[in-house]
Amino acid sequence: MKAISAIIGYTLKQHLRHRMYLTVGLFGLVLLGGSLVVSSLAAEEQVRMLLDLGLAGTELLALLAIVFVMVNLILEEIDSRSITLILAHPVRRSEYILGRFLGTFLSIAMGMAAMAVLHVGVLMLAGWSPRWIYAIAWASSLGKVAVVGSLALLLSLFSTSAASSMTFTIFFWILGHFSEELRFLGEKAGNGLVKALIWMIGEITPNFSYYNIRDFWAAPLQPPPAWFGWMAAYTLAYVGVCLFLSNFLFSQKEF
Amino acid sequence: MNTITLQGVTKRYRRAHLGRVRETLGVSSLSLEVKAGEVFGLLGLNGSGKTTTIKLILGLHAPNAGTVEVLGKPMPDLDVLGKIGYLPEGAYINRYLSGREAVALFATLSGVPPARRGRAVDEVLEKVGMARAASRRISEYSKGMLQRISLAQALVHDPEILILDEPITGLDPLAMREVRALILWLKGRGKTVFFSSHDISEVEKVSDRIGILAGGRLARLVEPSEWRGREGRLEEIFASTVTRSEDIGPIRFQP
Repeated sequence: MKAISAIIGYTLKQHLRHRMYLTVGLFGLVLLGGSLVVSSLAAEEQVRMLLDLGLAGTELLALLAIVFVMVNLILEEIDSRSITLILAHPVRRSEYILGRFLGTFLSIAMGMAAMAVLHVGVLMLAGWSPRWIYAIAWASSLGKVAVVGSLALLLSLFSTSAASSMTFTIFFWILGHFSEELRFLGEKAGNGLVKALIWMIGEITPNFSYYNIRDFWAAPLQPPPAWFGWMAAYTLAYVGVCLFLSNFLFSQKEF
Repeated sequence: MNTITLQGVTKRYRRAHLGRVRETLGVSSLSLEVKAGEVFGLLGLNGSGKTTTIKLILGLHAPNAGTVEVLGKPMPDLDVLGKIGYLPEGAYINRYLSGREAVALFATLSGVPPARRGRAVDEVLEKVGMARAASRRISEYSKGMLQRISLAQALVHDPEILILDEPITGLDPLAMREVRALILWLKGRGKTVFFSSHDISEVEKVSDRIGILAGGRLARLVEPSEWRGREGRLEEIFASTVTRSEDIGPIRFQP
């Protein structure tokens, strides 16, 4: 536990000093630009568009940041050989993987929290009153970020090329929004081999339908507790499997 | 009592690229014993297997054959790693941290209790002459400063065993003299020191025994009676023992 918290601590410092907070600055610019564009609309329309723009911007920037950072996280330490010195200390490889993942995830979560504060501030200036669904939308984006981050980490240890790891992660991220369509395609496929292939891709691909709050957003309705339960359980299970496999791949490596 | 024991250790590296597998030999049938409180120098040309031997001792690499034991336990062993201070050939420290943060991180990973950590870090920074520059980032350090911080992290937990990989390579004559003094200071405190180098004159000044590695094999074990008080003798032994790798020829410029 001591080793994990020490690794989380230095990972947080690394990201902060690597100017990851510039993502929040970029988000501020997106919001500012958006506000200018929608300023000619009616007040209600203005709020709705700023709300959508802000939530989509938060998720997109957080996902791009976690893919880029997570893919380079361990590859950079392997290249600079600083990993050799860390593993020459009494640190289990699983502690290193978990500490680096959690440190990076926390940095992104803090950036997302800062973006949310900025966003809510802009919305309130435009006359919006805070609603519970905003927090749920933010939490579901955070869940997606955890899932994509763990997948990026796994792929970075699998391929050892940053470019291919990023490409594959983004491919699975996009595919994750079509999980229902993939399942449908698998059911309709006549060839057994194609069916098996689609099933395998479907199992690897994150299923983002667990994070879909569109139906609740439009009503507006509060999602039932089971919805939160499934989202949390899926996130923990997916991240857990990715970290387990990452640890397995990492333990096979010699530095 | 032996502190470090290598028994018939062989390490081969396999590198596969596009289906082509290339195998290189790290060390072959290496047997070596280092006694408690001894300063053991490992001499060898570039590529002779010095760093591989050190990585095997630290448990960073797994042998293909043979056994590696430190303090009577097969490596890697987390308890034993906490009793080892390791100075790598390059200063492989995360460049986003300050010198003090880096030393504190390694003190935590090595199990220095929180109550003693701050004092231990301050003391070791003072000892390596980095107390005044400790708050600066690693990325701002010169090579000599990096080496000192690297040394500080190896000493901060007062280890029983010091493993130094090429500790004098690239250092100026003054710093070389300081490292020599450090090794003798460690010996005076009863520590076991295992270090590698290709600088014959430095190795003979501080070592109790010397192993000469050639082509991944322990070509000769030299006792102090063979070189002490006989100027140039160790160089003769070394030159007659080692052979250059078949891939590297001699430099052929004649005056």
